[in-house]
Amino acid sequence: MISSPDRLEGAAWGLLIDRQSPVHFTFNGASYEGYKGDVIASALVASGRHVLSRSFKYHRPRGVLTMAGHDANALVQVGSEPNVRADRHAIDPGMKVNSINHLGSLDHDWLSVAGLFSRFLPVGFYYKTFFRPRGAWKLFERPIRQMAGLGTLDPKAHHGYFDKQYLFSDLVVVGGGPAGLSAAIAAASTGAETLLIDEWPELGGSLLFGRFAGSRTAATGKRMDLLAQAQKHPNLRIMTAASVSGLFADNWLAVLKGNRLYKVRAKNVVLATGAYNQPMVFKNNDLPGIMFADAAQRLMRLYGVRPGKEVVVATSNRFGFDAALDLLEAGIDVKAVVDLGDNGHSTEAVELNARGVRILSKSTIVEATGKRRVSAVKVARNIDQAHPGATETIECDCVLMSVGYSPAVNLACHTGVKVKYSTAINMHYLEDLPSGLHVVGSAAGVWADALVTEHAAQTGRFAGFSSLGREAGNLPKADDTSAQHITHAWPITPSTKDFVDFDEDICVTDIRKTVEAGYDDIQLVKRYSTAGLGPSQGRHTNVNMVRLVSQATGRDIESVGLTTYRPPLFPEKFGQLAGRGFEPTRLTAMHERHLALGAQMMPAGQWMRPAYYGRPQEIAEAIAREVHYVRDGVGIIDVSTLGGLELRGPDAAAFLDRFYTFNFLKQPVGRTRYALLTDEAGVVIDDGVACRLHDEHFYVTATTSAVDQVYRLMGFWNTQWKFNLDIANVTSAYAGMNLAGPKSRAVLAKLETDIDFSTDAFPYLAVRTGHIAGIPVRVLRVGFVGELGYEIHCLSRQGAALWDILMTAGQDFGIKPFGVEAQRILRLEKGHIIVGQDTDGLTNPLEANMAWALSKTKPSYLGKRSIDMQAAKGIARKLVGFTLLDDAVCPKENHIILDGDKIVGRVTSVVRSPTLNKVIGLAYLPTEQSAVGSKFTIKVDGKLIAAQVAAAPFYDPENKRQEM
Amino acid sequence: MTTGVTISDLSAYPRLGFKGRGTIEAAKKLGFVLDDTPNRAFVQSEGQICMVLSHSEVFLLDTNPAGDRLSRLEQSWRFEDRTFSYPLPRQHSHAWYRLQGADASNMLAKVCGVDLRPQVFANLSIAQTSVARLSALVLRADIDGEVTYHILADNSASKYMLECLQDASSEFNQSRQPS
Repeated sequence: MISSPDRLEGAAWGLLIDRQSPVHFTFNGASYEGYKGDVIASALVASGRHVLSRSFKYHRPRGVLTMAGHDANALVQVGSEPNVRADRHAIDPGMKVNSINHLGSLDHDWLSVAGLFSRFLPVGFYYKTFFRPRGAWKLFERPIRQMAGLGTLDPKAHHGYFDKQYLFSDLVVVGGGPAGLSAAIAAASTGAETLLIDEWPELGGSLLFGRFAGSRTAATGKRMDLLAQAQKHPNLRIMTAASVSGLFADNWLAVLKGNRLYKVRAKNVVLATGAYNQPMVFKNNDLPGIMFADAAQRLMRLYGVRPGKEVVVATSNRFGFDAALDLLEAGIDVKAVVDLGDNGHSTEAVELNARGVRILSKSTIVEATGKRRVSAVKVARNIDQAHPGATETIECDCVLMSVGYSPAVNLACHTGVKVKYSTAINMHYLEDLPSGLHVVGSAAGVWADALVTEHAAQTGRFAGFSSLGREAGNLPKADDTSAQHITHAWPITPSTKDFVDFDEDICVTDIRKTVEAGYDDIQLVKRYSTAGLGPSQGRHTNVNMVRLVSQATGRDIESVGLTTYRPPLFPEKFGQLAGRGFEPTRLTAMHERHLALGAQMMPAGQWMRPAYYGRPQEIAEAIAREVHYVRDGVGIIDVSTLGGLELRGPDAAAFLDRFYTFNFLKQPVGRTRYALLTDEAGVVIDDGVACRLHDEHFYVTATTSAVDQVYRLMGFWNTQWKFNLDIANVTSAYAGMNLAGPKSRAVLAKLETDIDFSTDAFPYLAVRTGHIAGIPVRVLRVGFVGELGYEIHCLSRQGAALWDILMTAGQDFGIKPFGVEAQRILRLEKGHIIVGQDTDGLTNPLEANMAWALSKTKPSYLGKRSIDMQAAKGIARKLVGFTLLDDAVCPKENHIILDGDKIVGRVTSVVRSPTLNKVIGLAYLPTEQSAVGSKFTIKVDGKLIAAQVAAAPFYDPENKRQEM
Repeated sequence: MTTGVTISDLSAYPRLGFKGRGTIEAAKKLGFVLDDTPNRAFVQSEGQICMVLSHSEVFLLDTNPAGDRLSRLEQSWRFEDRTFSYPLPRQHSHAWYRLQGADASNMLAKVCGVDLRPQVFANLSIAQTSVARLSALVLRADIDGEVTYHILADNSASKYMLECLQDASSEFNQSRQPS
């Protein structure tokens, strides 16, 4: 067990941890102890482990940099989850943490030898290597794939539960620091519903660890005061530990909290997102122990962890001096404050001096030394002079950097706001914010503590009134002259291993060589060098990269521009994006009956339908049995999924007549008629049956998958045609079952009914309404499967009862249910097509042999003009029936038809017919090869099979059975 | 107001639709109190709720499971009356769930993108929207002052919808009370 020797004692340290609750976890197999509230990185640093990872390219040791989850140094693997940010992920008992991206141990990574060959791995080398000589890639691919990637995916990882939730608020404030809290409280006080979102578990932002007006006590007091106001405010909702990963048009925010993605809508958004600390660039500036000053403050104040024992602070602003004072308060030896400016006269510097700390003004760090942790730095003096003085070496185990910031304006940029650079403050700023979007605090360039809260409160009030649609006055301006003293203009000392981008191991030379190679636009620099492409997304790279490009190109820094910030701002898990999957499933009224009968269900769009009844091991036998039941006796199939449309009104017939290809004006009441639908291009898009139940009433069926489209089309066209009728989609309101087979009439004869089912009274293609066993029904005599059959429709809540009645009545006749697979065979034996299977996105009725379904007399229907043109032009292909010369091998749907080596057609449907005991199918062939008896070749799994065109229907061509 | 979310399945209760260009006028002649304002509901003196979905469609709910007014209307309807308003068997096409409880609107925010918070979605408002990716009608019709939502969605997907609602409500200590 590795304990925690580097803990600070006292109430001033460790705000987030509970020292009474130890937590044990492992890192690379070794046991560590931390406290409840610790994150992985704080517990490891407290235990003396400073190397957390290896860098991407050179496998250099890396440690804590931000303690805010903003860098790639702290990426680890936790169990099966890769890319975990160790400086934000809380420890749990028994948690198994592993470091990533190394060969051998973390401390002795064999791949670190890559650093010795760095001159053979220049910037952009992967654009120029590995592909010559021809075939070389195969040699390189395996080792490169082994080296690439951070962490490992576990394909057997347990599925997590993720979901999504919408949230609505008048106003959203992003960021819970002093600016965000002030803005939120002021906004809520206007009466606006306000939502405050912060990524940390505790509100306060920099007040959690930093100083306010130079005082830690004042910071704590300010935080408690703001918290008290915020927490008791009735209009203010607070969401902590939540990250805003994207801001989109119309103030739509993507917010990640735990395993949930919140989709937030607001009338106004106030960004109080703060600023990102920026690194110094010098030789070996990436050694573990070198971190941002606020990272060290977080370690101390939030987790009670000592960042080092002997510390050098390099700074150019008050925040570095504040950090040095915090170190002294913690009893840590501050070896020196390296001041890149001339701030020796500041209050903080005077206090430090008085407490014995050396202030080295106008100085900078030029090199760090050490192996797996910094052990000393070389400091150059008088850097403002033409010939700086000699360097001085200072031994230390920790270096804090605070030489400038970059405002966190990413979210604003997601909405398209432009970013400009100001040489007055050496920082970027936002230009021309859109209405409804506001920025406060350091993100807006306001740094003086008193101004931060005042400006934020004024802005929050403005945004609150705006959200309520009330007079808001003038938007306060963000003017703060103190911003000029925050960021150093050039914290760069070029050397070797002087990292500009820690994620991708990009050095100063790499940026310069990128420009020399001709990639001098900032967007090209990013893509060619890969600087800013890593997990940190350029947070700590962009500003120094812009400075270097400006120097290398000779362009002023304002004109260099900035790369584009894109969402997500924080890592999003696929699970969060996917959320809880909503996949509607529709069940027919007889679903439970099918399950009880042993049905194997299959999806048909959103519906579930019985594929066949029986065990999967005997699928072929089960389907063949069902076919024989229908051909020889009686079967019943659930057809509830067929679309059902009611067309009622004086113009119902006129509408159908213009909509479908057939004639409907003179269709008698009590008769059905085939309804073929083509689009304006004459392409077959659906078919069904139109049943005339009354002069002004048609009940029209449509295919399962197309009924919604047909309903939409009907509504669309009637809006233009303005017929007097109503169209309703009643698919779900009706259950349907097809009682089919030569004994089907006998089954019905056993039942109490007011419908005369005799052949003369109820002929083929008739429709009747009435009752069966007291249940109101609509009965259609149709012949899809080619036998005597009755398609019976009833209201859906009565469907199961009617099914039971028919099954009971059919027992004496050996009735059995049949599924979709048997129906497909039965209809193919009869030569009936299925729209969508035997037609495609170009099929017109002439190609599908459906000229008989086209009216020759009426002036118009949807697609008529196109079909007439096609008829005049002639068709190039035709749907034909076929059989095989040798039935040994059965083709599959979509197998191609060859003429020599030319593809001339395809199989659309094919089965081995249990009734005919041979292979039958439908296929598209060139018109000139479509005559019955023509031979052609199908390519089946690489072999060529001989087939010939056959007349369809294959079964009962005289239609005697279905019309009996 | 009860805590959490209570889901009641009212699918056995009577409901009926009318659709067609003469529907609003026909409904008034049948004695229903309503006006031609889409997405508004009107409570009738006999306890039914008349949802006006459009200028040509109403959806009638009976909160009395034994009520027969709607079935009488359906049975007495005839083409010959020339009302240009046609009945629709909504009891068979739509499942009906009622949601109550302090967290009902929070729960709905997990399955529906419309802002249904009580302070925004007024009593007797209707949203014709998507709930758990399924077309649905969401009605707010409070009962004795308690915020109450009604969801009417495709009957064939009633099992799916109930599973989604139960899943969404589980974090709010939901208890289902079948009616």
